[in-house]
Parts: sequence; structure tokens; C-alpha cells
Amino acid sequence: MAEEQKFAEVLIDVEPANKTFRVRVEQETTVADLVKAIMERCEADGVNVERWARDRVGREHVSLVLMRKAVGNAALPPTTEFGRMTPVVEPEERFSLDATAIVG
Amino acid sequence: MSDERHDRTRRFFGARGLARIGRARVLVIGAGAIGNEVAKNLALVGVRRLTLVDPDTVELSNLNRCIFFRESDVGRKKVHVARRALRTAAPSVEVAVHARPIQDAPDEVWEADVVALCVDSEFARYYTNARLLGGRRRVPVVNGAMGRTWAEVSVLVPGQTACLVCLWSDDYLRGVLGEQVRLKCDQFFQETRVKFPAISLLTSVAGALASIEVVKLLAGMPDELPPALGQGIRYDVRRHECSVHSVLPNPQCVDAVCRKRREVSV
Repeated sequence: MAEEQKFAEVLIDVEPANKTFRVRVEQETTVADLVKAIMERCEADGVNVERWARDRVGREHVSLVLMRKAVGNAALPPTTEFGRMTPVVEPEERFSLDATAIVG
Repeated sequence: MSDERHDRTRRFFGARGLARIGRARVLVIGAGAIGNEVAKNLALVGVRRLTLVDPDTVELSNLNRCIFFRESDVGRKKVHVARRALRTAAPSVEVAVHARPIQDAPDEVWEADVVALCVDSEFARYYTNARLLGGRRRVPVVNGAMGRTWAEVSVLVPGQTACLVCLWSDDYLRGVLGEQVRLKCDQFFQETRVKFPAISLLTSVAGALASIEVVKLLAGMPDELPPALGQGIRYDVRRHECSVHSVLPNPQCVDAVCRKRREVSV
């Protein structure tokens, strides 16, 4: 996101919903905020992201992760703010929601 | 290692690479399906000092995916069965075993060059991460796991790259710690825990990916075989998709030591 920009719209691929969400993020929006917002929007569409993730990783308790595709696929920590990402977030940049494997 | 047994391996890594692999000590945490595969691969490739840590006993339901276990082993400690099988497969390998959770293992197990983490307990990951962050040396850890349709491995050096819990949220950590308490105290919770689908087709891929990364770290051939440091590798069987991603360090990591180290390095 450029310095002067207050927000950007980004695209989030969400496999369980089988669709791409367009989400407006502010400079201070964190990855965790965005994941929560996506889960709520999916819930409104009748898609339970947590249930999908539980089925995918085989545990009751799951860790969702946001992948940033534009930088060669990077797994982003939940506290990362969109305004502090390097390189800066481009308008309509693509991300995806995923779950981390646990079972060994 | 001059015997003919390692001839083809020597042709792959060269004499010096093979010698480095032979001198290394690897700690394998978890002797289940992925741990079986990793220990087997490392022993066959010439690692001569392995330490296995796992508190569990062999169950009938393990036999669909664990290369070392037989029906006659049911009820025996996994690490003891694995050690016997490893000695048969690679007689020169020294295998130290500890049939207890990693948090109860003696300090000497941490004197390893690489840690292979093959557990299905997030608490074990959390504990391992804390030990590695607190150690004097920076020891790489190769973390292997599987989802329903994919195998996943990450190669991290806690304190240098992202750590094993840099992607965790506070809520997730609270859940992990809560689950650990319930597992210790609540027999009903243990018995009714949902069993995850698990097949050897996937565990062997996860084990192979993890073993490759361990050996890359040991061989010391960064140009030819660069370890995937700070990265995760995922192979999904649905469409045979293989992807590599970087795991970004978290300046606000849930682990205080990781956080502190990052403040110092900034």
C-alpha cells in the first residue's frame, strides 16, 4: 500500500466458499482482522470456514493462515498490518486463506 | 563409511558430503508414521547417530502406515520397535531412544545438529520451539505434517528465521495449551478425540520431504542442495501441486523469546 493511501481493496481466494472475496483493508488492518472478516462473510453465505479447516487438517483446533501470493507465496503472521507489508500492497493484490497441517 | 553399502550414496553426495552426514546427530521427535519414514530414510542415507523420542505404544490402527510396526509389536513402545527395525536396516546406526514425551526427555537429546519434528501434538511443537529458542546454538528444525490431501514440511531455525509458532495467534496458543491440559486430565476427552484419516501414501511423502530437507542441512552442499531455510513446502495429491512458500517472522510472536530476539536483532 503506498504511503499516501489510506486503504486498498485486495482479493482473497477462499477455497471453502469456492470464490474470491474483494475486501477493503486499512493501513492498520491486521491479517487476523481480515481472516475474521472473511470468516464472518463466509458464515453469512452459509459456509463454515472453521469446519472446513478442521476437516482439512484433522484437528478440532485449527490455525488459519493468510498467504500473500504476489511475493512468491508468503505465509503471513496474524499480527501483520497491511500498511506495514513489504513490498507495499498493490490494489487488487491477491491473497488466499489456508489452514496449516498439524498431524504427524 | 567405506563399505559398499554406501557406495551409491557416496556417488550422490561425494565422500565429504557423506562424511558430514555420517558425523551428524539427528533428533527425531515422534516415532509415528512420519517419524518411521524419516528415521528409515536417515539411517539408509548414512546418518549414524539418531535419537528417537515418543511416549506412545504401537496400536493396531498404526499398522496401515508405519513401515517398522508389525501386529506382534502391538503394545510395545514405538521407539523400541523402531530401534530394532533400524538396526536391521542399517546396522551401523546408533539409536538412542526415550519412551516419553519430548518435554520429559533428558537435556542431552537437544545436543543435535538437526531436529526432525514428526508429531501430531501442537504442544510438542510449542515446547520444541521454546527449547530451540532457549538453546546456546541455533539448531534447524524440519517440521513434517500432513493435511487430509497434502504433505507439508517447513524448515526453520528458531531465533534466526521465523520460529515454529510465528504464525500462531494468541487465541490459537490458548487453545493449544487448553487442549494439553485436557489431554493430561480428561480421560473422556482423550478417548473421544476424533481420529483423523491417515494413509501411508501421504505419510511416506511427508516423511520423504522432511528427510530430504534434513539431509540437505547435514550434507553442507548449499549450491547443489540448498536447504529450504525459512520456507514451507507443500505437496497436494489432488492435482499433484507442489508449492513453496516463505514463512515470515513475526515481530509480535506468541513466544516471548522469539519476540525478544527479534527486538535485539532490529
